[in-house]
Amino acid sequence: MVMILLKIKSPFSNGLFLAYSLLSTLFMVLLHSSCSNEIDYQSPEIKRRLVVYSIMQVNNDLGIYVGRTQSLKDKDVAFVSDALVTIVDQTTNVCDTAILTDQDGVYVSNLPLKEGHHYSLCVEAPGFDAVYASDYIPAKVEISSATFQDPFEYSSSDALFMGLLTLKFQDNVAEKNYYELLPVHRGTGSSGEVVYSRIRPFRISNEIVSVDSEAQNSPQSILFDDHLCNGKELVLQIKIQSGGAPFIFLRNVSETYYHYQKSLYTHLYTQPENGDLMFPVEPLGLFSNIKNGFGVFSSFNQSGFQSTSK
Amino acid sequence: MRQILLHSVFLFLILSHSTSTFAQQQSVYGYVYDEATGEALIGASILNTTTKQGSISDERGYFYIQMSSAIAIEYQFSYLGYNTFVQKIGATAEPLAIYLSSKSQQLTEFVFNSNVVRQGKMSIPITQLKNLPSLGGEADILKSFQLLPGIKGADEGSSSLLVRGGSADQNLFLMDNIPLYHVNHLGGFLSVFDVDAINNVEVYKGAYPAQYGGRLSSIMNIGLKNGNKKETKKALQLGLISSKFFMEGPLKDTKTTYLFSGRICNIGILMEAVNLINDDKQGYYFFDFTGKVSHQINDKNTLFISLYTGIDNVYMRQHNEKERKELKSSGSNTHKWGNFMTNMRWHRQYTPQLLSNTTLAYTHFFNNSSSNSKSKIQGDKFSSSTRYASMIDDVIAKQDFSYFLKDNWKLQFGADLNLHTFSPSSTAHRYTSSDAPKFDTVVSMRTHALHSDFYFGSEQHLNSLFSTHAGIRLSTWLSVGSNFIVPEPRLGISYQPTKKIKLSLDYSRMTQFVHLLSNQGNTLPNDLWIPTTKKLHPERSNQYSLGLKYVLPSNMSINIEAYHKRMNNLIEYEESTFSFRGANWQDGISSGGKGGSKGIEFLFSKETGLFNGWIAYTLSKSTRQFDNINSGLEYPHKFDNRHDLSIVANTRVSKSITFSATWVCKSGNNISMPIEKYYVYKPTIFEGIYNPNPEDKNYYKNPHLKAYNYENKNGYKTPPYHRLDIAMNYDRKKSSWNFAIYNLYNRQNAYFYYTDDEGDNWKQFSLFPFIPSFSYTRRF
Repeated sequence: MVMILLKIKSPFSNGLFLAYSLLSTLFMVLLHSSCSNEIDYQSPEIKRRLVVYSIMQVNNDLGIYVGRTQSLKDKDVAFVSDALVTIVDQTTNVCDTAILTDQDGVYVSNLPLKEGHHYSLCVEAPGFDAVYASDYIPAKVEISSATFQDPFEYSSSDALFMGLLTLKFQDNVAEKNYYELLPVHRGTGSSGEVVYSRIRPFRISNEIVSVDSEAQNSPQSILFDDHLCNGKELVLQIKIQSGGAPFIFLRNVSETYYHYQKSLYTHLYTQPENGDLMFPVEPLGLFSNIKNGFGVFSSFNQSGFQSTSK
Repeated sequence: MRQILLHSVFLFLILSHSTSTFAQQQSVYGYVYDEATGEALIGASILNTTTKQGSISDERGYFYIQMSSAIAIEYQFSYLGYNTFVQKIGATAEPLAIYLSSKSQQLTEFVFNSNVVRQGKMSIPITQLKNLPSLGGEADILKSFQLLPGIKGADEGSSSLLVRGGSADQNLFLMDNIPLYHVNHLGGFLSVFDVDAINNVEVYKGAYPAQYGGRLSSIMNIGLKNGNKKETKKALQLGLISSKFFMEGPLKDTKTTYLFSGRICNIGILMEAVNLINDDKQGYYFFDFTGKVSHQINDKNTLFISLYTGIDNVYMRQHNEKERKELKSSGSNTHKWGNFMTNMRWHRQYTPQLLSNTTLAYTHFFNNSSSNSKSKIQGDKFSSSTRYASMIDDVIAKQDFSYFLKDNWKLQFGADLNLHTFSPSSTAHRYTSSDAPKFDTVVSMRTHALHSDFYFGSEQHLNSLFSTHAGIRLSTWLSVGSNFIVPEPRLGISYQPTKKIKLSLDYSRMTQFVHLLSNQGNTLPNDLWIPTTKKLHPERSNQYSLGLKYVLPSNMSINIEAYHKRMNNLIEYEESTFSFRGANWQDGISSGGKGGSKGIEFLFSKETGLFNGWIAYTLSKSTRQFDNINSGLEYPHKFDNRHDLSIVANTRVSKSITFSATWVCKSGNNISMPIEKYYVYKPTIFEGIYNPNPEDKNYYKNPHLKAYNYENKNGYKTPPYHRLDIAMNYDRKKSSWNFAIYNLYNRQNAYFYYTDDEGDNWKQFSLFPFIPSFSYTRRF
């Protein structure tokens, strides 16, 4: 670099230019020589609140996790095993009390979960304020076609061959819809069960999909709403790792699920563990629809489609 | 009803002063110039040596003095740092041209506009500004103004201005009276303003004249030089951050002058040198260009054409050839942002009392990112490209008049029309292959708005005791679904019981129709400029200020000013919202916010002498309140720094050498720290968390995703920030050296905090340590 600079004609002598180059390098080094020091930060003692996590799926048992907020210094996950968990189908007025399972903090309910129905959740536990939430299950949407061109290009940043997945589906104009796409590889486990494995990374080629809330380089899933394609046939192109035509899950998710997922990635991105941030970013909280608590009670309706190789 | 009554009172006050006829009177008038360059001298004093009354030159160097008879009177023309000129002058039919010669080659003295009618206005002479120590040895206007009371910077190294508790987007930056929307390079470390091309800079943080509006917190007007009328001058500067070339001078007929200045980032050059030996290329650069041509048509008409363009670019280019299936692919990613501004102004003097400026201008800010890839596999070709763009455009027409009713009474009135075009977000995607039709997707949301302003203002020295300034500005906004008409009264009065003491009281109302959405601390150019809409009403502020100036001997003075500002209809991203690329940006915004700011500013300055400088201290408080943020509770603004102290010292040790030092010290920022944590699940493939079959690999056993609770927004105060910078300037006739040290005692100021995965150990990240730098300027 110095030799290149010295070859450039200038009113300065070569000696001065060498000095300038060295000083520039020193300046660049110092400019990037940030440093870190430990500080003593003690979070305040406050009343803890319940944390509830539950995602409804049609024709599945409903699992509800109940935990609590905890001090920053606590090492283990704090779950709650003496809660009273009640779920109500507001469409049919049928209710059920969830039963504690062998999994720490996980309760299960056999209340039938049906498309189009509204449900509410109430969790009470000694020493905590009761929490409430509600959500609905949206209609199923099917993928009409999906093809996979493999390979399509080579990505230097990932050191991988990438294929191009093109898929189509129809949006329902009558309502506001939110979607989530997960391309996966489908295989068979040791016990003969179907096993899905994630495909990473994605490159979303079609900006009609909102990628606002996802770390651009490694989105967990493809999340978007229908405001730019309402009532139309949506065509998406996604670059994924080469290696066989993927299986695609298309979820029609509730608005609560959509906001939770969007905030999830930004919350992870702005967490204080991210010491690699170049610029200070305002930390962003995680979305919650749990009144008096934290977490989420939401739903999705899922369809699957096996893409074909092109 | 109350507003109508208040506005009527303002108009009555303005019009009730007995109006002189518009007929031409006996007068002496003209322009005051720098003898060496021909540039206008702003704020020069023109004093009747007998009566001790007179006038000062305005932003064009123009002065007007009414005479009771045609008898010649002795006048003294003076300007700090220049030799005084005394001349007997009678009433003139033609404008005078008064040339003042500089006392020394390098000006170290300065003045904080002692003669202006109003408080709330500040300026730093360019020559003084160049001597101040700076990061990388690069003189920066915005960073220099952060040393004044009531004005502070945001994060470390940032050029953003926060004025009297306002946000960074509440400042209007004008270059030759035309707005520039994004005024930073290098992510905010350097401003777009090249000091060598600038004649004067003034900032209004209160007591705004009626001709200015559009932002809540400040108006910064940067006046470009017209170009040296006497001789051609060239300069080449080599610094550690950027290099630049500057040229100005007259054309053949000397009625036309020009000025050109261009800068390029050295980091980009060094990275390109490294790229020569790499297959994949990546880098960053910026450049900017400022130009102006001035043509004096005749004694009464002058034409000015200004131009600014600047671009920042982050890029990556790849090229690969792989053995598998004879695949060849290439790709590129770029992120580019910048401004373009051009301005044509016709200055006309109708009579000695009536001056006019007619302006046509265009200004444009864009922020684009694009990715392209091409592949060739066994003879088949494929390509895809995606482009994201955000931009704002203004087409502007302005007509401004200045009318001197008397030499101590000036009226200013006019109108401007601004056609805004907003495109906060548009995306386009194209995919082509040799065996399939081309596939295009374009999503674009574009909005137009017509923004007009009409204003009328008066500045008058009533007598030796009282001065007033009053004005009214009427702003209108016309867009699809949103129409607003907003009056903005301005009123101020000064009382000077003695030559040493001046008291002033001011009130201003401001309205802002154009908003900037920023990620609350992220200063990158992916901030969005958005319009007022049916849902987003214009932001408004009302500001009151009370000031006292006390003049001490030896050109020292004390200024104390107290202010109180209330802001309404503020906007902010909602909590849990990051930057947008989708078109539905309105859905993620919290509006209707309120802001309050109050404070007291102290400024002690010593303007002349071997040793000079100033001490600026501000005691202030600034808060915000949004219904959807922090549970609707009021919270401190992130940059609510209770105490803010700046000390600037300059001394000349010889004809060629000056030393300067700045020490800044302020209370810490207010940030949001987590107060507790909890665990949730990340959605899995099946999304069920209840696992009936422990062997099934598709379920997670326990919640594994850690989340933080950030209640009590901005509730944690970081440690105080302080830093000492020094600089030495060595000036010779043909060259100058500047040596500077940023952060002399290596103070590790907090930039942000982070923790390890366990949450046990918290750390503070500090950005800039001790950094020496230099720059060299060669003049031709």
